[in-house]
Amino acid sequence: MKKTTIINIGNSIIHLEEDAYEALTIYLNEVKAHFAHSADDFEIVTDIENRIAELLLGRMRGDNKQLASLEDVQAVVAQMGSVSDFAEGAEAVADETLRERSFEPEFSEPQPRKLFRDMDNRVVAGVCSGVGHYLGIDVNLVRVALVLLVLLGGSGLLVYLILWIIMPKAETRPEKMAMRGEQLNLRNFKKNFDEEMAALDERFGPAGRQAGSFIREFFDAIGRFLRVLGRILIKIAAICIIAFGFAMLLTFFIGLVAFLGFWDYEVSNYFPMNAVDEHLQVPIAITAFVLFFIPVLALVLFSIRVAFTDRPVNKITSFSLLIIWLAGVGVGVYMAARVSTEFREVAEFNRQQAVKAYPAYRLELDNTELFSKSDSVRYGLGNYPSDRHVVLNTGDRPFVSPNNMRLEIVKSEAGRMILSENYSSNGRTFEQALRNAQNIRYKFVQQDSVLNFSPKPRVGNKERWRNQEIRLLLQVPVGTRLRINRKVNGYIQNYYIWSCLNDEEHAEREYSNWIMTNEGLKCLDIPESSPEN
Amino acid sequence: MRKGILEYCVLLIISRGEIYASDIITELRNARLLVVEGTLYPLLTRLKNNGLLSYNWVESTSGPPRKYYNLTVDGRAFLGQLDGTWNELSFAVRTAQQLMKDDNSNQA
Repeated sequence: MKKTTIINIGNSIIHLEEDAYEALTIYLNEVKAHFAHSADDFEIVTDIENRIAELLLGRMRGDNKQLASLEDVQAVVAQMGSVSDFAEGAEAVADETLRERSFEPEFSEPQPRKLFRDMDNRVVAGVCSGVGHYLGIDVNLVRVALVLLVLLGGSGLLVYLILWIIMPKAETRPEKMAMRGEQLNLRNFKKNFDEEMAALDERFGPAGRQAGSFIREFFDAIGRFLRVLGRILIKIAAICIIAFGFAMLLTFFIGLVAFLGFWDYEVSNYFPMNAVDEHLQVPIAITAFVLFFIPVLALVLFSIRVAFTDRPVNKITSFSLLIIWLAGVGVGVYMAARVSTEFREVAEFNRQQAVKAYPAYRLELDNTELFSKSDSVRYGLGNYPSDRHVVLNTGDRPFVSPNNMRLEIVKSEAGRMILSENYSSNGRTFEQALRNAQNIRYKFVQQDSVLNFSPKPRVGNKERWRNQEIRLLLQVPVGTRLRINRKVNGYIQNYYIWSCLNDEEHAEREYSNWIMTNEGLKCLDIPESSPEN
Repeated sequence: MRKGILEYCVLLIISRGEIYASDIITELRNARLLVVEGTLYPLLTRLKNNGLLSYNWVESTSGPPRKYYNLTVDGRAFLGQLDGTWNELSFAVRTAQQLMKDDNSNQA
């Protein structure tokens, strides 16, 4: 009984006895090594493999058997010729370069070296000898330099630790050869192997026990401990990211579903969705979802890989995620441009409102709102005879848009009390902007000497947010007294009203008292302090 | 000594028409120009990459498809040059041999 191996050579399936397989493998490896430095190596080796397959199949067919034996392989190899015969042939065809290269690898150009830790020649973790190999300088020079760096302020220690972490161990023979910059061919392979055996002998011989071995073992243990600790920490971090990421993904998803489900009712009236035209809202919501969902999803997938498997992230998955995300970015930029054109022009207008004359006024903030007739019907308030209804306590609505009223108090040059209201808005065209500004409704109500200011202008429910703003200019004649509710303070732009409240006795007072002078407002409660800014 | 001669012979063999690599070997053996097959493939690849040869894949009943080689126009021109060189060379050799034979017969 003999073991057989199935090989695929020259696109043919051939059954080989085990010794035949070994002989053929050795022969093909020699052939590959021989042609490894020829520009056409692939083509030549393929031709040779094809021919070997043909010859083997021919012999098997001739003997009417299923299996190629060692004799078959030897006969075929004899017909193809050994590598040394090729050399003769190469001489015959004057292929000098081929011959030189394959027989004198010592003089070939050095391969680019790779940075590995040399575990065969180390004191602590093989970092110094790895760097030595990489730079092509004596290991001892590197060690001396490192010790000097450690002594001069200890930066060498940090450098060593970082290199220890980032440099991989040279474990396999190809890695060790890449570290030394040796070329990967059969001859070097053998040389490398022999050296390794010699080093092994030396180490296990009594003379090989160096003083470094204790230090080495000690640092080995520390290194193993740190590496295990690092791996655990990375896993914990990855698991945290996964958990947090899942929560975020779920939030995004619920957010999208909620938005798509209720967008015509509430959500679209909140900032920033209230800036977006209705027909763009669903595409924008989906785009935003894609833009936020995919990076988090990618992070979670990556963390799962890091924490639970060592396989790299599936290329198809990551590329399709990237493409979808980039498409999302493109659509998002387009949408943003579409929306921002709605803010291209600004329009504003002023309206003056006379205020009945009193020697003193009280300024109050009024959270109640006026509703137009249609709004009243919509909110179910339509049973009242008047066409305007007042509703209390709408001030703590959710944040809708950054459109607080702004109030400036100045000295009246005309000698009467005047309130001028400035309405402004953005729009795609000037006319549109002006229309938007005209649609702003602002409620100011005078009840005798009490002036009630609404904190926000109102914009119709169907209107989109277009940076609608209201600025009030209250012109106060000299000598008029003002009693200002502390709730109004935050809306006043040109005076720091809190300065009139911030003395120890009166810190909690609700009102501050002022008088208009030729120099502007003066605080009456704390006479010596100047309220101006 | 055989430098270039193998190439010349291979080109001569191929110039007779489309031919498979192992048949080239057989012809070389018949001409007692002994080479192993492994030598031939790098040579053919090099000649092909220099534009002297081209090949066609031909399905085979006994294994993988085979490459059948052909001379290109360049290859034919190059072969013409080699013919010229060879004729000069062989004239020189033959003349030298003839002189030697004449000397020998004169002495005898």
